[in-house]
Order: sequence, then C-alpha cells, then structure tokens
Amino acid sequence: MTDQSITINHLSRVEGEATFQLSFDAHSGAPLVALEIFEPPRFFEGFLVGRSYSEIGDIVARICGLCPVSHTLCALQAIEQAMGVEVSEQTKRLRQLMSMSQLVSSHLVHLYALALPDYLGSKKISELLELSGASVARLLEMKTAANELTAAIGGRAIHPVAAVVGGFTKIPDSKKLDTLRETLFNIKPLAQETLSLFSSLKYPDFENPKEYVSVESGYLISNNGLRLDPQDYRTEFIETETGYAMAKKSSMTSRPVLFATGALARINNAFQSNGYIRSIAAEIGLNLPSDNPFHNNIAQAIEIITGINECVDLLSEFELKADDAQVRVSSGVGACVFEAPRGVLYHYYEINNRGLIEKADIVTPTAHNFAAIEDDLLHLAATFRGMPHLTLKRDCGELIRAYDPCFSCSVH
Amino acid sequence: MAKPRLGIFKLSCCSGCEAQIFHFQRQIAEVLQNFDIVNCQLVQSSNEPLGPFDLALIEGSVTQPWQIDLIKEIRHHSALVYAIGSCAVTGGIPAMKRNTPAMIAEQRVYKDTSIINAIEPAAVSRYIKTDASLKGCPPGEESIIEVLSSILLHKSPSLNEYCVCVDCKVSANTCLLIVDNAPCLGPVTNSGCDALCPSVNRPCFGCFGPVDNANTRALALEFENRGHAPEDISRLFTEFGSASVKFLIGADIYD
Repeated sequence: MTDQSITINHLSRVEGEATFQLSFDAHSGAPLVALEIFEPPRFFEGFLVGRSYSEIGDIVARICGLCPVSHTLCALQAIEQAMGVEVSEQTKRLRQLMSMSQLVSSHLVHLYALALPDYLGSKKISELLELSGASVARLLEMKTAANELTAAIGGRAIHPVAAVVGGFTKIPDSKKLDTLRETLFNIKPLAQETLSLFSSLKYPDFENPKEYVSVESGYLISNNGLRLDPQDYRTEFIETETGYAMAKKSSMTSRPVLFATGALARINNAFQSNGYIRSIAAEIGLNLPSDNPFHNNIAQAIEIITGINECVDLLSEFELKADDAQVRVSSGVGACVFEAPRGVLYHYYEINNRGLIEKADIVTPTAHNFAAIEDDLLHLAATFRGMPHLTLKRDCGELIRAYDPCFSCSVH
Repeated sequence: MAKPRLGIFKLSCCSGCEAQIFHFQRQIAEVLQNFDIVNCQLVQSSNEPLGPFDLALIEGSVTQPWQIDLIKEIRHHSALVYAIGSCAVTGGIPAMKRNTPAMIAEQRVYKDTSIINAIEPAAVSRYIKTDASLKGCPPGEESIIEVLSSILLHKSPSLNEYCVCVDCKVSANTCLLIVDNAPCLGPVTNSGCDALCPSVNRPCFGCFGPVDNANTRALALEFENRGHAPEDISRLFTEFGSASVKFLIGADIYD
C-alpha cells in the first residue's frame, strides 16, 4: 500500500507559522493528526506583569495585526471591570463600530486573499490581483470603507490609539462619520455580491457536529446550554500544553463534545432569534445550524453583510459629546470575553493598587479552535480516505484555512 | 522588462506590517502589481525556492535561533534587505521581554519550558546588514509606497528621519509636553505617523522607535524635572524597542 501520509510544511495563506502532519496508523489504519504550530512565543503574559494598566491596550494590540481592535477593546473592558470604571453608552457604541468595521475588514482579507485562491486555483497573489479584476475592485472598495471607519474612530486601522481606559482620547469627527455612513450604505450591494460568490463555491460535503460557543451580552453561551460569566471562565476552560505546538490547546472540562468558535458558531447560535440571518440563509440555500466547518467561509460572508448593516445603523442619528468615564486607579480583578473576527477572545488581569499588572491571562480564538481543527482533520481524513492523495491534501489545507486561524494570536 | 522580485518575510511579530502592505487599499495594491511577489507566506502558497530577490522585506524581531539562519539566507539571496516595522528595526514589543529575566517571563506562560528555545529578542540588524529601516508600528502607507516605488525608480527610499515634534508643528498641534505636562516621547521618536497620538490628544508612546539623533537622556531628565516618577519614565522608554540603545539610555538612568 502506498504511503498516504500528508505533510504541509509551513502552511501558507494563514496568519503565522504552522505545519500540518497527517499519517495513518500502520496496524489499525486510524488517522493521526498534528497541527504543529511553531509560531515563536513572544511571552505577552510574561512581560505584561509590572506594566501599567494604561499601557495594556496599546501593548496587547500587537498580539495581532489582523484583529488589534479586539485585543485592545477586550483588555480595556477587563481593566475597567477590575478598576470599577463604568463607560458611557456612547463609548460602547463607538467601540462596537470599531469592532464591527474591523470584523468586516478581517473577513474580507480572509475570504478574498486567503481562502478564495483555494477555489480559483490561483497560486500567486499577483495573479489574483490581475485575474479576478471584478472581485479585486469589490474587495478594495469595501476594505477601504471598513478601514476608514476604524481609523476615523481609533486614529488608525491597524493598532488604533484613541481607545483608552474610560473612553476615547478624542471623539471622532461627526462629518467624517456621516460621510462614512453613506459610503457604507452604498457598498451594501458589494457585500451581497461577496455572499453570492462565496456561497457558490463548491465545499466538501462534510459534517462534524460540535458545541458552538459565542458571546452574548458579555456572557459565554453555547447551543448546548452553556452560560458562563467571564469571571468564571477558568472554572470551565482549561489549556493543555501539547509538546508539539507553541499554542496551548483549549478545552471545556464539563462538556462531552469539542467546541468551536468563530463566524459559523455565531451564525449557528444566532439564527433562531434572528430572522434576517434566517432569510439570508434561505436565499442561498444554507441549512442552519451547519456542522460543516467549510461553511465558516459563508458565515463570514453573511457577517460582512450584517456587520455593514450594523455599522450603518449605529452611525445613524448619532450625536457625539465628550463623555469619558472618570478613571481612578484601584486594585482589582477583571475578565472579559469578546467576539473577535475569528471567535471568542478572553483577557484577564489582576491589578494592584498602583495600577500595575500582577497577572495576565489571554486565550485567543485560534487556541479555542485548536482541538476542533485537529478533530475535523481526523474526521475529514477518515471520511475521504479513498480520495486521491492530492485532493485530500488540498481539502486538509482548505479546512484549516476555513477556520481563518491566526497562529500569532494563538501563541502570543 | 521583468518585474522586480520581491520577498516578504515574517519573524516574531503580529503580521501587522504585512497586513498594512496587503491592506487592500487602492494605492498599495496598484504599486504591488509592478512586482513579482516570489515569497510571501501570508498571501500565497509557494513552493518557490528562496530568492533571488531584488528586495526582501523582513518584519518581526529575532527570537529564535532558526530565524538567524533564515535571515542570513535571505540576505545571501537578496540585492536589498529592508527591515520593516518596529519589531524588525528595534526589537519592538517582543523586546519588552528583555525587561524581565527570561526564565521568569517564560515560566509565567508555560509549565513545561523544555520546548522553549528562545533567544534574547533582537532587531534584524543584530545579525545581518540591512539596507534601510522602514520604521513604524505599523509603518504608514505612504512610507510603504515610497519604499516600493523607490525600487521601481532605482533610487534610495526617502524616509522621514526627524522626530514627531516636526509633524506636530506642521499640524499646529498644541504641545502636550509643555502645555499639559504630559510625558510625550515625540521629541525622540521617529515621525511617519503624522503625529497621530498628539493629534488625538494623547502623548506619543514611541511606537515608531527612536529617531536617529535622539537625545533620550535629556528628555528623561526633563520628565523628571517636571515631576514624573522614575518608574513611569523607565516604563515609557522600555515599551517599544527595549533592544534599542537609544531608548535604553532614557531608561537606564533609573535602574
């Protein structure tokens, strides 16, 4: 029998560094899988200790260049909880706008630049830029609008600076926001075209049911009855060091099945109470809930639409005034769970009475999805074992990419 | 005419510089179309051999032994090597680990540190010669366009080598150091951000790293004269680029 083992060295079109290995046990024939995340650790939780509460938002942004807004905002909220700071409704609204505009931007890059080449068969980014002219024009127009909104509020799109503990150092220019509302309104059809494109791609017919975890009103929830205060996160979620990956593998202690987080988990958990998502899904013939992890691509395309809609709504009838919360340094403990583009992000800080960090704990979406990705790969290999070697190898790559993993985040 | 061959590489960092390059806003995309992007793990599959490159861009700081071998090989195959972003230029945020004994920082993160093979975080230029430094966290779009178009025009890139204060004057910002007594690193930090932080009412925290002729010692003493606590001053100079001698001079007087 020929050797069917698969190695994808240094996976491309994902953020960060990882190698994928699949082999079949010589005796039982059972597949064995390892996602070797060799992304170097930077030891954020190691060097955050001793830093001031006021620096953390800026520092943790640098965990990830694709979702810096999520890290900053998650940290700010955990710190505000620790120090008993209540921010205004306006601050919450501006933060949600930053978060949503970043989500749209992050999903766009993943779908068009990282995922789409799998399905178009193009190898080089320059080919993608030249060959699919129409879709690139669409990408540029949407991406520019989303980035401009993040920047209008945060100062710049990557590693924004205006969001701080208590609020914003400067409230954004209302005229600029008005203009952006119009721009975003006008790109709605492009978001529809994006969904048409990504729902028309042919995804492997594959299902692997899981528990879907997402954030609702500040709590962790799931389709299987989980409801957890972020303060109690560590009573349920543990991390294991694998020995072969620099990222730790997250799991839930009291639950029977693996869990996943991200766009598909959010859509799976939201559709029952959200008629709009149901109608979009019906239009494209997507059955919800979906246990096909490849459908995360479609879920992201849906979220581009709902994200733009939410930005347009939040920008309507918006009168801005200076209303930062008062910040008084005090000791405390704070935790926050946050929906980053790739799924649930957790930040936890212990702060002393001088406002210095005593302990930090950060778990990212890709660390949460680590076990689910490997389990999906195992099932994929078992299901499609008879397929030509190259097809299976391609499907494994597409599957990992469908999760839109961020290995820099996962290790940090 | 053949397009210049471009390689883009990531070491230990957040990928934010590459994200800025592939920001998919119109101008950079236009400039990129004039290049043959040979290696760039983030956006394309590649079985291509490493180089040769007309230009190699390296982001991230060096924190692992294998990265030293990689960048030496990149250097060997490249006509020009530019360090891009604070991590590659000064060590950036990852270099903050240098403020804590390595073993302690590592044990705070991993129970089993036997698989850790980390070395002291350093700028790329500690190990190889670089031909230019594109500063910023992340570098501004304009400077990325300048670097890429300089290759197309066969000229050296013209990068801002002056401090953030200059941009503040151009933008007519009120000086936060003088008026608000805020500890602003603008006088010693390289520009390229259009004085982003002072323009949104917050003092510069040095994310672009030190400007070449920075007098950090004088600024640290000025902060002290203005009543700022030594430990706060020390933290300011060790947030970005703890591996850069210039910023360390600002912090070291308090050790």
